Amino acid sequence: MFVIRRKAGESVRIGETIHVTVLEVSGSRVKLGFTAPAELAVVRHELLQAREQNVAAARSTPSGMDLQACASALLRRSGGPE
Amino acid sequence: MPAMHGAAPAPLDFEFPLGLPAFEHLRRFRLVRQEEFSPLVLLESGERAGLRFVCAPLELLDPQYQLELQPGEAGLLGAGDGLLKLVVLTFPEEGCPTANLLAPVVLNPATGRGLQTVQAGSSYSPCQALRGGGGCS
Repeated sequence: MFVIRRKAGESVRIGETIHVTVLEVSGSRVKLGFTAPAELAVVRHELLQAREQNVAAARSTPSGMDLQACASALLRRSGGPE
Repeated sequence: MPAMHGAAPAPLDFEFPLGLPAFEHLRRFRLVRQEEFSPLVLLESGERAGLRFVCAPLELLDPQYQLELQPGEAGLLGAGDGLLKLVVLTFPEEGCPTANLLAPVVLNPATGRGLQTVQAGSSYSPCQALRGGGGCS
């Protein structure tokens, strides 16, 4: 991974068209500003993870036995009846 | 909170004003509870036949879960007590089922609205393995 140190107000450029600016540093959080072509989506990594996981979940086709085994496992975890 | 165990009550219909991540264009989902799979529930699309998500009650997977609604999400859900909090499960062809703790689904039966809230900045996993579930060796 390429690493550079930046302070608030400083920026980096990625390629010819993407600018990332450090707007604010507060505690453990950093506020970033992005300037990029409209066709480039800038999204939080967590949202991408949620999308990918939803696609995987929608594609998965558990059998009735899979569902019952999972349900039983959850009930065991909660101490409920199986 | 309405009971998630026992006899299967009638399905509940929910509107998701923002859809779900990767399925933003789908706004209507139905919560289906089948006794033989309790406490699991199904979230079925009302617009795309065959699209469904297997979900589990969040409190069963992580009783200590700290859910934080993002700005604007509480307004989308509307007022009302008894929010249902669910976690979407994935059943890979091999290996344990996994739970998306990063992005729980929150339903408000009082308003018939729901959303999937991404817990940005948290350490929750999008694919937490469920040991002992179906397919687990």
